Amino acid sequence: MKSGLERFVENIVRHTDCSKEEKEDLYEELLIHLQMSRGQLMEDGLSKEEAEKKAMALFGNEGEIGSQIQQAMFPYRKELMFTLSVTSILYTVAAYCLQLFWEGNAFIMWMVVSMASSSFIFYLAVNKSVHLNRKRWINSTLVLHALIYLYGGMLSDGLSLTILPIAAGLVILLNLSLLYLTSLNSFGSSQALNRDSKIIHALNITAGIFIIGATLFIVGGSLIMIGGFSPIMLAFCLPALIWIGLYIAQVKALKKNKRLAYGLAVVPMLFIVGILLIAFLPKLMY
Amino acid sequence: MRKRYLYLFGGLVLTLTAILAVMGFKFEKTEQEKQEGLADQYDVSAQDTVAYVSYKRGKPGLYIFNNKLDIEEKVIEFENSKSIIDPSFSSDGTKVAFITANKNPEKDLSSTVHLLDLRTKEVTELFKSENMVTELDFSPVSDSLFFLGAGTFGNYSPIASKRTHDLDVFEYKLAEKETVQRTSLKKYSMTSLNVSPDGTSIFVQMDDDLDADTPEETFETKQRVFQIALDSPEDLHVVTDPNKEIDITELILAPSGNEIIYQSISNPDDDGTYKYELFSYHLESKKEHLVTHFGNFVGRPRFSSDVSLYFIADKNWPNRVDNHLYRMDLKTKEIKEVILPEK
Repeated sequence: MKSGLERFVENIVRHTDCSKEEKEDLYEELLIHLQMSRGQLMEDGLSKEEAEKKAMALFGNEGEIGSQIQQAMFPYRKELMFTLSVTSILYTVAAYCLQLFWEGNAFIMWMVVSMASSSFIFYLAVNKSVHLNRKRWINSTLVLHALIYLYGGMLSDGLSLTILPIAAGLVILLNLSLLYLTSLNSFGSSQALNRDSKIIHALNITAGIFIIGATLFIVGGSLIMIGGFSPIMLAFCLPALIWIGLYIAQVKALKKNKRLAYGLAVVPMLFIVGILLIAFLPKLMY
Repeated sequence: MRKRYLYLFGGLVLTLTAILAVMGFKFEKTEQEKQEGLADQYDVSAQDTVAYVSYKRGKPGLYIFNNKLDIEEKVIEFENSKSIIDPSFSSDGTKVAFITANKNPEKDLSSTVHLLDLRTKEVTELFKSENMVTELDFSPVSDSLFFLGAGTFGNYSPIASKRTHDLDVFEYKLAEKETVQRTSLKKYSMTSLNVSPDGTSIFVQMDDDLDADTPEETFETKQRVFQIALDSPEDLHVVTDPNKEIDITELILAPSGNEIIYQSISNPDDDGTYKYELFSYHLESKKEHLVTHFGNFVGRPRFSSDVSLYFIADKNWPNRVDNHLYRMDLKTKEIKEVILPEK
């Protein structure tokens, strides 16, 4: 059975967005600190139970401590998530209404999904729930939100209102910055693993932005040109599917074979460099 | 943040979403209702009377306007499932022929050609065609109406948009009420039908693919202006510069018959959006000159006389269409907007 101190520290750690390894490190450090405090109080004449209660009381409320640690580890992230959420809601309302009243298009499904995603980001920013793996939820929501806004950004195209595509660009930029921050920011002593993880995640997020962005652009362009779905569009999605597969393989390989992980991480980057060279080299040469 | 505020925020977002969704269902326009304002379908008579098409909540209306003669009226309006295409004046300016077709040709490819008599303002149905009629032009010398007919509407390739194909030139003899097919080209694309002033040949814009054998060669073909002799339609030749590497997208033959005005890209080497301007091309000297300098999308050139060139400029190109009609005095090169009452 766990001691009161252990349960107390567990509650603090649950209020942070760390990974499993990071939480283990934080748990250990806090528990040692509290055990030392308890020992000191026992030396001062308190019983074990009294010393434990006093040590916890001196340390503070677990929810608040957890939030403070969270804020210290990820400064301004809460504020950035608020900004992202509110900007996204404002953009959704503006783009939806302009499309509806200027062009007669009602993008109801996009509006509902976008409002839900924006609100969920708001909820995650203020939520102190200990039931969620917040890091995973935040990352998944940010990826989903980026995809929603890559599509949403296209809604501002053709409305002859320069501020709208700029706003969409800012939302996507803020979204991606948060994605990088959440994925790459870490805590703990296993620095070697963290450094490799950071590099792998950074490479894949960067590759993902290019590949998924280009895929959506090509599929969107095809929809406009062809005027509906065509099986050829599935072929256009192939690079994105390969990227997802390689990303999963790298995360798995990282624990056993770093070289293999790095080798796989280079593949999408080489693909992107190749595409960019094909697209821009002739223009640079002539 | 207190839970109470979180619930308040959630409630507000939910209410806003519901209101927006209801507004969406209420105010969404169908594809047929979306067309609004001046279309790029018009013609000008020798007397400077403009017959033009304007849409209101998707319903096409044919309007007649002449500032000098104080003419300003709506002739006819159709349901929003229909389009009015290519109103064309007869040489004497007393009649206007125009096409009505379904906005969605996939449903029904057939078209109806109507004739408006400006003296009586009566609109009669000339004929119906199983094929889609895309353009009209009166013969300047006979009682005939030439038209382009498309056999199919669709996409030949999965990466191409749906368009009219298998195009040929037809002649409808008004007195005999009979249609004669004048070419058997089944062209992938054919636009800008112009009957020559002597009525012996026609000028059209087509892909210059007569010598293309392989798919690569077909892909590389350019759109140019062809002259087709009506008595020997297999005798067709390019009248514009055969080495011009930029597509010619539409044209009008000058009343004199020795000059054409065509639309082409004015900035082919730029990375940004293509801009379309009008160019003049003298058929004898083979010299090309830039006529307009709008920097957006200028098209639909029409002559009322040898000195008056009309055209449409889309001021909002490449975004939402905002068509404006202009008249250019070819002697002074002065350009003035023609303010239409129902734009």
